[in-house]
Amino acid sequence: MAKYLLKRILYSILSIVAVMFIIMILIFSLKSRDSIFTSDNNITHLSNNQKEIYKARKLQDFGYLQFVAYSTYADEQLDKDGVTDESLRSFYKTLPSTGANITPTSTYAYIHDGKIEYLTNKYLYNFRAEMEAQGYKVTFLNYKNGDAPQYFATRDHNVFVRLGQFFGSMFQFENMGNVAADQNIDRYIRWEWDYASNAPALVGSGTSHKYLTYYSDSGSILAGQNIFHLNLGYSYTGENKDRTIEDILLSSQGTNVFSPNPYPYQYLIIEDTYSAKNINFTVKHFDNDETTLISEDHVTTNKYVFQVDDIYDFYKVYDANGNLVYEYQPFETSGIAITGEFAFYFNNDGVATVVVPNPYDIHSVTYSPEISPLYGDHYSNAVTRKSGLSTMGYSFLIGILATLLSYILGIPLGILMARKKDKIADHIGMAYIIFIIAVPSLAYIAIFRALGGAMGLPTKFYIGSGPTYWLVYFLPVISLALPSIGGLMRWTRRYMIDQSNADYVKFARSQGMSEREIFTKHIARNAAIPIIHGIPGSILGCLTGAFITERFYAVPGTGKLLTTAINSSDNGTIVALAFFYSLLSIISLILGDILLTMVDPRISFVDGGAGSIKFRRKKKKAPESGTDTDENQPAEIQETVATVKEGE
Amino acid sequence: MEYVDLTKPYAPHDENDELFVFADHSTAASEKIVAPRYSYWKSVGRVFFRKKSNWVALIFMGIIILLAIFYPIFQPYGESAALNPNIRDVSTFSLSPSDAIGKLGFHIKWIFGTSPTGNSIFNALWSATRTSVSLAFICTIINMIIGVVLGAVWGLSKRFDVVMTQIYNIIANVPYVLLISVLVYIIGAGYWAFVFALTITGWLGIAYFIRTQVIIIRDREYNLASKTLGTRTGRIVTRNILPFMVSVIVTLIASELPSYIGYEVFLSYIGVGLSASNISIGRMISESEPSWVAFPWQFWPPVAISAVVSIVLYVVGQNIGDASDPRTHM
Repeated sequence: MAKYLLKRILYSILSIVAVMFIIMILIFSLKSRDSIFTSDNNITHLSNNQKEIYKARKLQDFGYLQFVAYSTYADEQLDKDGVTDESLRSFYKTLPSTGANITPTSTYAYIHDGKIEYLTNKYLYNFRAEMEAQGYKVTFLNYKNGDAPQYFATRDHNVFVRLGQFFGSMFQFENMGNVAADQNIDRYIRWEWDYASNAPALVGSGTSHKYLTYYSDSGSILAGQNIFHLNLGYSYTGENKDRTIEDILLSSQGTNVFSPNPYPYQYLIIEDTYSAKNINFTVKHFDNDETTLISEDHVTTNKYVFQVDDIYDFYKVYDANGNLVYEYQPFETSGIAITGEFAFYFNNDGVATVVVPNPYDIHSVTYSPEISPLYGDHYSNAVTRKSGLSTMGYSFLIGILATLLSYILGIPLGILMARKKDKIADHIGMAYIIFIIAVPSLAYIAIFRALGGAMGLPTKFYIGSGPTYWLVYFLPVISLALPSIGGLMRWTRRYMIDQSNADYVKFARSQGMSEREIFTKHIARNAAIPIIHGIPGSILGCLTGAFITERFYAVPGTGKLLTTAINSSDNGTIVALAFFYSLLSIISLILGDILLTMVDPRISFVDGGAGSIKFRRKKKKAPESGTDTDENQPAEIQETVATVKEGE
Repeated sequence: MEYVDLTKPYAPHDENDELFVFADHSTAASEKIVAPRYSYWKSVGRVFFRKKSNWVALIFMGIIILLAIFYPIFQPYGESAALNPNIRDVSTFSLSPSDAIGKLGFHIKWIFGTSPTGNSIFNALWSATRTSVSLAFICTIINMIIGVVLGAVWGLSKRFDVVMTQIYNIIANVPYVLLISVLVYIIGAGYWAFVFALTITGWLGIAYFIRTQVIIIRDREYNLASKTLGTRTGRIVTRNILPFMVSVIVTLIASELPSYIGYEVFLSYIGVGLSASNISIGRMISESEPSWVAFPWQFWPPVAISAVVSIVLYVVGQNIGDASDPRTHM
């Protein structure tokens, strides 16, 4: 079995590489490149030469080619040759009006200090020679009617190189050499006490993330890691431009969540350094104007937590000698007062600092070359914490609820249909199944949304909270579950009927077993096997999101990513999602087969093993993901496929 | 009752036997099978038309197809000023059926109101039905022909099987929707480009299915016998295997036809559908969906027609599939 699995996984990896190869050829070689400019309004205002440059740069942004402008090249070479004189530099970067006669001996006018000198410009010639040697195509666009000349080189990415880069840079592991070697930074990875979460954390220096493993200080997740990241590239255009695919899939959405935890790191150090030295302070709380005293606290501490409810809460801090050491005035951002739990931190110089509720997730800090004044080290740029789930989170939540609902409803209904075969329950069920199979999913989702809307259910999804918030999940989940329920009913009924006509059931009946016993001990167990095979697929399928349902209800899930990417020629996202979807489909097939061998000992994938049954699988995927994959096949056909599975 | 032992020569033992006359032994007559004449397709028709619901479905399908073919000839749809005189008159945009009839006078084309450009929804509906249904038929025909032929070869040739199974494993791992979307995105959104995108890999699933069927049937005893008697492979396929699979193929067609309408609707909705010059059901649905609350008359007719067409095609196809199974001909 282990050998079989290894072989199967190896084949799967090969087939994913092949799939990515096909997708890359399709997108980058076969697709017309002009399509990315069809909806681009910028291009209409540009002159001819500028248009060419713009197109080349844009094509570079969309991952088609590498673009090098002469000025970039010249700057680099001039730096290398140590040319610092600005006027000389600009002479070397100036382009002649035509590109026809660029030779090493051509001379050009160099005007400086009121004199004219004729100099050769080796860079102009070298650019062409060097770039062509590297396989670039060098273009010189001549001066024409006020249109400035342009000189640049372009090179298409080789599809094999692209494929190699995609897979080569996919797995990113943290190590202390991740920060460039010339940076002066301590390099270590060690366990430290993390004051944000009051738990140990694996902290790195010289790594790209500071916190490698950590317990979360708040929010929905318990712990996190930054040791390993999956790099699937980034989005080239659209609302997610330049964000990595991992970030698009996994980062939370919605409004900022303010946490009272200290965000600038140095306050944690203060707490740590002075934790043993509690100092006497007086904290006075004023209201409205700074004169109405509400309360006065005499504390011996290094940290004082206080509550700010509105813009009129004032706090003043006095030391043991009665000197005012700090006062806190509430402030506003974008017209909204920052409220919540604040804290003063005191050190033994009698100075207090205030910690403001902030939306930053301190555990996400990454390396930057400058020392951040807020944190006191190289690690900054914390991401903000948002109230909602990630795109994948919403898709998975809705998908998994729909899957649960469909298994809970679909299987018992299928059993009911099988037991009441050719009676009214069976006919109603069949009518529903035909409806689901035949009517395009868009149409019945529209119908159910209209019905739900008429009943007062929310028909547009939003990120929020509240006692009735869960209602927004209602219609998307139902819409997504409808086809799966139909599919499960159909197959459960089919398998049940097949099993109940089997010889061993007739034999059991002739032995005098009760119908109930036959059902639970024989039919249900055997009929469950093919149903179980699809479970991993339906669970993992939730991650891909549902194209139509999510778009219909404006769910901020992953389902819309692929369609938006296709509509905006976002090649980076298309490639990454194709990989992600193929990976999920392969994993779910392998898991399904493993599960099958676990529930049915007769099935073995090893030649000569018990039963010696080989499995073939699946037809094409139905449009609405999260549904049964064999949706399009009629019952009679599946029946024969099932026989083949056993007979082959 | 007395039994006559037929193995023994006939020996009269009664004078009454003289009343019987010897019959001549005829070789020609003994070769004839005395049974009711059986024609396969006649029986299919008989079984199919026995069901009243099939008549209803067929009549529905006939009406829809006839309207889709002939209505656009008399009432062509288009966004040019010649075909849509209201295009410059903002007051005719998005009128409900009653408003449209009130404002523009009674005409069959206004019974579903007007589009956001003042065009007739009813005209658009039949042009769209023509596009979508013809697309479904063309794609089904192409995919079925390629799929059945290649599937049969795939099932019979072991060498071909090795190669094709690998190809299938790779292509089946690409989500079908992704593949069609990328193809439409690459080759453009014209009608024939769309047919190409739907058929370039669409046959693969059918071929794989047929292959599996062929493998089941090819190793059955009667084929083994036929092969031993010297029947050529081609004849085994066309005479022994394919007739066995007629009902399966017809059932497959029944689920393929509506599925292409579904794909077309789906692809239009996600924005990789047919180009603007081809009005289709998917296009009508996806264009009217954002304002379906305000202008329901633009949204529901295409939804309804796609539902009706799909159900009718499915039911008729399934029932022909059932009827084409000789076991139901008793």
